[in-house]
Amino acid sequence: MQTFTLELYPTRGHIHISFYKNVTNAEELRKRLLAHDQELSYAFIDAKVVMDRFQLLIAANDAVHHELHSLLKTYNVHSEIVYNLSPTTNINESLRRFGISNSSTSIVVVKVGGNAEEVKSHLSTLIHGDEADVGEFSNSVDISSIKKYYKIDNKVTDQKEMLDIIVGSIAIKSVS
Amino acid sequence: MIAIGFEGSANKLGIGIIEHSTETGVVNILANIRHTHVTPPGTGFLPRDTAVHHREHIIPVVKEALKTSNVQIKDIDVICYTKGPGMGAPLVSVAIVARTLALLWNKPIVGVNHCIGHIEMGREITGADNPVVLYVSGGNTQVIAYSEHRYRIFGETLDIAVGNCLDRFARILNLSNDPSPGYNIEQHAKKGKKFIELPYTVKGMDVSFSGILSNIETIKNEQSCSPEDLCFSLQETVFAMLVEITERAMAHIGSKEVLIVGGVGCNLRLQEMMAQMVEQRDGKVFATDERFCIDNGIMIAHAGLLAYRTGFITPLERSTCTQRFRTDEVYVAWRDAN
Amino acid sequence: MIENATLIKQGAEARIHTAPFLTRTAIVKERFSKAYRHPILDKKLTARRVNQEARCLFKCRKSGVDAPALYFVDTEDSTIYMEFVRGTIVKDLLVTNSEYIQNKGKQDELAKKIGIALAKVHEIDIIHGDLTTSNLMLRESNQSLVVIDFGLSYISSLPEDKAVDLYVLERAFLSTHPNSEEMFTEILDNYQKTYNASQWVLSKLAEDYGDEREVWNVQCGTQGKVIHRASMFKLNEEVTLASTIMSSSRSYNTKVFYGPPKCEPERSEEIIEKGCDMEYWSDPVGVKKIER
Repeated sequence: MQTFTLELYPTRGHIHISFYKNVTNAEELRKRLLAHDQELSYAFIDAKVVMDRFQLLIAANDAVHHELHSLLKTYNVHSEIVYNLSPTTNINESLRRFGISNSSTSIVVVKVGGNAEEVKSHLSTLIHGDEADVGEFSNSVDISSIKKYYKIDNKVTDQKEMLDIIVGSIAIKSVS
Repeated sequence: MIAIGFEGSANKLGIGIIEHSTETGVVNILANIRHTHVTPPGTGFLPRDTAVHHREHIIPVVKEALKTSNVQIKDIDVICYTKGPGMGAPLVSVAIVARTLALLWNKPIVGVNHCIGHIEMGREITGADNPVVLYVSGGNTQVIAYSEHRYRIFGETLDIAVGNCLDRFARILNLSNDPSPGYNIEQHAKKGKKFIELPYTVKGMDVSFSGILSNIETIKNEQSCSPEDLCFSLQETVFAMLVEITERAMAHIGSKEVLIVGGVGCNLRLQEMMAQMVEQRDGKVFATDERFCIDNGIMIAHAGLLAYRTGFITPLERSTCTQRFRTDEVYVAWRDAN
Repeated sequence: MIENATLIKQGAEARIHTAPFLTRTAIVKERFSKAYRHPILDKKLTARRVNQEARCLFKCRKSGVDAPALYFVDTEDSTIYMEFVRGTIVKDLLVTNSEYIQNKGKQDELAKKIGIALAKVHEIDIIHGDLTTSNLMLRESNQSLVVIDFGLSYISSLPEDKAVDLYVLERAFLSTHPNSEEMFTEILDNYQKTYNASQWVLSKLAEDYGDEREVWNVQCGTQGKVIHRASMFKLNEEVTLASTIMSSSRSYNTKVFYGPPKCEPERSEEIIEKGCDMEYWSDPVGVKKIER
């Protein structure tokens, strides 16, 4: 797990990012999310569509900004992170594409606020799988899904350029 | 040296007589007489009628100018007239008189660019040294700065002049043209409270006003707003555009002075907004009152005399008028290169 | 303002900072309000411009123009967060870097990059609005040409708007840089090669600003009398083609096509008569010169 501070909103609490591989209870987690289980106050994201932690931080920063200005489009700051990752304004589609599915085995979790140790231990009881290094999730990325969802031209092959377009798509969403 | 200036490029007929001391450079205004062609509310001035007006009044106005100034014809060194830009028919009607008098009195003649007249008069009256010039009138909207013997145009209107926009706006609202539509808009605007959004078009250092006019009819009918509110919103919008492009020009060339010239330049709200902008930049605004802002003969005499003193004379056979005459076409011999 | 920000530039409309942002360094561009503007107008205008700048910047980046990546748009505080590009401003390069001042090969290489970048910007109908050499950079990592500062940018497909961009750049080159004419020609050359619809832009450039560059005057007329006259920017055979058609024509209504030779002449144009201000001239009839 890695922990970050949002420079713009330092008092909102830290941003924690963890990565789990070989997850076996995605279906259960998803059910509880759909039932608005308060214990699951996290953003659960399918690792296939995550290229870099910067992408997550940009989405989290946007979500906290929306929360602060009462501009949330979804239930809470965590669902907003998942929604923000998507370049479209269709909420259902965004949550379906970027949130976890029943068959997800690699999961990225983003948490706004809370103590790092507590978050870490709580997640280990929630998720049945192996926690891995955050740097590793680029191994499970599915470039074709990323290209499709973010409408990136096939000519673009450079990962850095791809990431630029991804974060730009997230940022421009709140403008239109 | 003494010059007499003839101005009639739009609806003002102006004759001015000026004296430059060749030793001290001190400028002395001897006469500044003006007669304006005022049309009924809801109408604008037409070239033909304006020319008729100028022809009817020019002789008495010349006589009055000579009387006020106490100048003898033999003391006049040069006759200056507006060569352009402006409306063709009024320009010609005044130029003919200037040329006729040049022949009668046997004096040299100098054709003057109207815009240069405004700029030089503004510099003379206010003492602004090397300002960014905002030239705003019924026929012109330009942001100008001097470099290497030319007044260079940094930004301008892409369609109609700001004064033209105000005039036509006043016509739509049926405001009086006496003393001028712009003056009446200014008075109405003082009583306006509600701000109504109008099209705001700035492209780099250029502006566009035509969108406002095409919008105003619909806004007038759709929304419940008084003529006062409309005048207020119009001024706030178009002047903000002008101040913005002036600021860009200042930032671009690193100048701290602004000089506002032209008929719209007498508007106190425009002067106030410009002052607010310039204050943020630690600079200074220069503006003139209606005697010199509004078209007049004295500025033509002044700019013509400046050119004449450098040896410039317009040959009689080339003392024509032209409707289009860009500010940057004139070689400014009387100023240093920078 | 964001923590640990460093002010790097105070412009007429915005303050520019650098600041650490989510593990990276960002450029933070904050537009401020103007005291002279009515508060409602000021708010709307600032919001509109922040949005417009962010959109143009992102549209360019997404279409393969190298421009700073967009990170975050704070509409409430009128602030845009974007990538801090490490590199050199082209203006500085041409003024202080001896390699670029002396070496024609280096200059051509740079001009080519600029021409291609501009072509890409115009291809997607973005008008930069302030295209000076201060707003172009070379990226340190890969020497790619980066277009920056979209503060005055807007979207337009009009050739005249694109021509203004080129004109502004030309002025910037002519005023500050050595060998600027050759370099600018090289820029236009690459612009033309990369951008399919460049013809309309270049002919606009010649038409509106032709007096400041090499121009071919193309004339058309009958029996020694010029009926049509046009100024064109000398670029390639098109002009020759046009002038041949014109000189061989006998009729007043000659239409001359001056588009790219390869495509179908779907657009033909009457050459516009240029440079004939109305001259008014009338003699003071009936007045005799009186000797005094």
